[in-house]
Amino acid sequence: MSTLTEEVELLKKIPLFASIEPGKLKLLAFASDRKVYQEGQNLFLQGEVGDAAYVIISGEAHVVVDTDNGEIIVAKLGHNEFIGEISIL
Amino acid sequence: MLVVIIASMPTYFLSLELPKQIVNNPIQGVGFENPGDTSSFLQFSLPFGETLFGREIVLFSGFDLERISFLWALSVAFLLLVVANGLFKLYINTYKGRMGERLLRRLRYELFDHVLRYPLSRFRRTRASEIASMIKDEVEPMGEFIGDAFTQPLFLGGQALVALLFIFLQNFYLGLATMVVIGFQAWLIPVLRRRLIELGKERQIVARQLAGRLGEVVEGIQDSHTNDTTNYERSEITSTLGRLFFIRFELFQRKFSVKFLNNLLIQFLSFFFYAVGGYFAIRGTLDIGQLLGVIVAYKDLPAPVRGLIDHDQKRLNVEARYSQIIEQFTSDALQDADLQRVPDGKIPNIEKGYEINRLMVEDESGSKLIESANANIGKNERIAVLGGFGSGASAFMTVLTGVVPVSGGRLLLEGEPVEQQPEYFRGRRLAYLDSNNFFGQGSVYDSLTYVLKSQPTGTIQLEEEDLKAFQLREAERKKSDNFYLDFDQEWIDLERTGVANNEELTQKIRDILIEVKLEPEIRTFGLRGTLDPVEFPELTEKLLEARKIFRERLVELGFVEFVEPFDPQSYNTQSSVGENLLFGTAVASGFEVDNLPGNEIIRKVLDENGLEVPLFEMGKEVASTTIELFGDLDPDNSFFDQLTYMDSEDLPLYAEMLRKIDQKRVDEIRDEDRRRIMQLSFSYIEEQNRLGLLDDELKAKILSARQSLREKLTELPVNPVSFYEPDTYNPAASILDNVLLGRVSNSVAEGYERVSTAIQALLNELELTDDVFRIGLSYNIGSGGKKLSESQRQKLHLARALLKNPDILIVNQALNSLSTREQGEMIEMCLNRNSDGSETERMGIIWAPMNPAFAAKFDRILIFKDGELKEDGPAENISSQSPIYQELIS
Repeated sequence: MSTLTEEVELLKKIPLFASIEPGKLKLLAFASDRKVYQEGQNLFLQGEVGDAAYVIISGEAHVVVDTDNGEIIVAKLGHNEFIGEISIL
Repeated sequence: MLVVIIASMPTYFLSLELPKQIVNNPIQGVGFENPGDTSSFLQFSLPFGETLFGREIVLFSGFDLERISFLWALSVAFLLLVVANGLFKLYINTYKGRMGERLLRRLRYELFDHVLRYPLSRFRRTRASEIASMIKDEVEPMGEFIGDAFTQPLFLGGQALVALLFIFLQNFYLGLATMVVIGFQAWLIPVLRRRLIELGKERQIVARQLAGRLGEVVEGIQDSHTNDTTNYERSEITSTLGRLFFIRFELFQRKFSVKFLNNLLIQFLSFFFYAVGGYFAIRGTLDIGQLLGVIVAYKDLPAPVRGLIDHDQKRLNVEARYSQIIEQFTSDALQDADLQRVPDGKIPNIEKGYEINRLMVEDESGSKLIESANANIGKNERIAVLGGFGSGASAFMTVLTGVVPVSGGRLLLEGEPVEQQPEYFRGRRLAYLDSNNFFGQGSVYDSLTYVLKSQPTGTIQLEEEDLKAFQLREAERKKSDNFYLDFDQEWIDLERTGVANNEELTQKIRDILIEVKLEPEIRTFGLRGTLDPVEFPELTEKLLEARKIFRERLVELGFVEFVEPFDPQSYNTQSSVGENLLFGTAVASGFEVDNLPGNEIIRKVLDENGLEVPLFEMGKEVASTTIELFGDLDPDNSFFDQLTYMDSEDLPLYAEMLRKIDQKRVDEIRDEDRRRIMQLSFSYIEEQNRLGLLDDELKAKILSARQSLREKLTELPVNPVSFYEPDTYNPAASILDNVLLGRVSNSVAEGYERVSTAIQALLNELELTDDVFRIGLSYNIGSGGKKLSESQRQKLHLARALLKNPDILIVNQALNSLSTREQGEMIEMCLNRNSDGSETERMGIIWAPMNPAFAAKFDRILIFKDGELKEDGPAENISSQSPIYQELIS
């Protein structure tokens, strides 16, 4: 398990956070959870009210839309990319 | 008792007479003019002997005694009389106390019996807490009074008369004067007190309203919060309390002014006695002994007289109260007691079913709910009843149960008007549920088996000692005419639900709960429940076994990454410093994690293990980091939600504290500050807070402190902590936590759910699910079932209706909190239930579904519209041809 300082370093590398002052980044790191998901697990489901944004530190996530013609993958996200940021804006 | 009271009078008289004799004879020396004179003690002459026979007839000549001995004899006699008087009083008081209690019990029971026989409409007008207040509080003074009702006037009146007679015998004029004053008193006081009675009545009504409103506010507490009306409620209760205050205050004012007047009159009499009596004594018409006797008698006189007046007042008060309550409890539509009788013999099954002819139903205001309906319903038909709001469909379902009266036409069940069928028949052969889903406080098991408790099924054999206690209770019960069935007997009727013993009953309940899809939830309750290892040693063993297997399988299950078992030898990084130190569950106060920093034993252990300074430094570090991170944030910022160990308003407090203690040594710091700083380090969880404050050295110190704390605590007479021990069951923790005996990191998504599922699977594998289910059944559902969700309550209601094994199941839009899909599944389940049984044995179903489309699942459909039964026919005809049906489902 990493310490807060290590996590701040991690967040710094993400382009969106690059310009944020370190103090605020530390706060962000403090308030965040680091979670491991297994293959096939859902981050959140279509129609749910979102309450969190995710930064992918490693691995890949798919954005899937449930349509009348079955599920369609609309986006694939990887390292340092964001999901769910709209919900916390 | 009346005899006893009359018998007590002569002793009372004698206790007045004796002091006179003591003063007159031995003290003043009457009859002892010469030393050596004797006087006879206990000489007893036939009363009125002189008038009847012309001479004194001495029945017992007594003992001749000298002056001092005579004094002694008289004094001892006086003492005996006082004791005898006291004993009489004791006996009379005990006796009437018991009588009052019996009456109170009888009265309360009668009132409750009335409540059980009220028509349901009555409860729409009466507040529950008002009824409770009347039965519990308002009748109480009546019980107290009733013992006094007859004894008090006799006892006090007798005493007053005796005292008065005594005064008369001593001196006629003194007696006459006393009588005049007392007569005046007896007339004046009630006049003054008339207003008191009115006030008493008002007080009773306002107090009852208060009780009613309080009950209502509590029941509707959620609405008060959601509508911001708490202040309105405050103001209303304040105004009622104000009214009550002024009523009570006026009562006090009047009560004490009456008392004042009363005392004044009495004191006036004493003045009269001292002055006039003294005058007579000086003149010699009255001897000192007589005067003293009169004064003693007079001192005793006001008490009985005042008592009598009080008594009369009380009588009027209680009378008013009584008539008030009786008025409240009389109802012309009281159900015939015979309908609720306990049946003997077998209760017949429904054979014919319902016959409905020109049925008319009105509500209380007289508006028509059903204008006309004609139908016959066989005993095992499957019928859907449809109709929108105000169509009469819902009213139809309710009248089928017989609890709501029919206004016209005929509604026959088994050829008799349904409301005239006794409740034992309706209650056991019909099952009714609607959206009202109240449960009494108790366990899941209690709520389910409630419906099987119509009458005791057998008597419990009592041990000799218990039998005696039982007989005493029984004899007492008869004296107050309470209900005759013993509550301690076995009430659950196993036979009715078709099982032979409790074991099978649990199995049956489980089957039904599986059917209504509530069984997994009950097992979850079981997992979260606790277990007493002393009571269930075998199960405890098996759970410990499960724990062992679970630990062995951590790798296999892929849980190693995020499940950290409790190991007495290692530091648990998922737990806080305090938890690591205590390493157990507190079973006594003072040892909860929040209270640890202030705990003396803990402090000592920290000191001994050199932890005081490092932990204090750590707390300071946590505080300063937190201030650095959050210091300039607005207190409402949602980032504070993530801050678990501190509140936003505490931040400035800690900042101030840090400034203050910056340069000081640990031992110079105020206790309160030390405690608050320590609190932070105690709640620090390395894995969650990630400040990197725990190194291996510190962890090792905490581990050795854990060890010495454990030694200290085990030495205490009662160990306040139940330790985490791989080989011991922890009775303070839930079953789930006992198998887990560790912490689940929240770094893995849905980690806890996965662990809990895995443990359930493991328990299933070890065949422990039955036990877990059983423990789940003992889960307390809270007052009104509030600890369950709405849909759980509705399912539980359906489950217990099925448990009853009714001939006909009537469901009136009862499952509205379930999803439409689940509602459909429940209908299917009920329809398919015992469909394998023969046509004659299958359960009849009359169902008003939420969704009209479900009607197609039934055999027959009834459709109500505008208070009339418009359609009645086979489901396939109605669903394909009826325009009203089409209208409903579109």
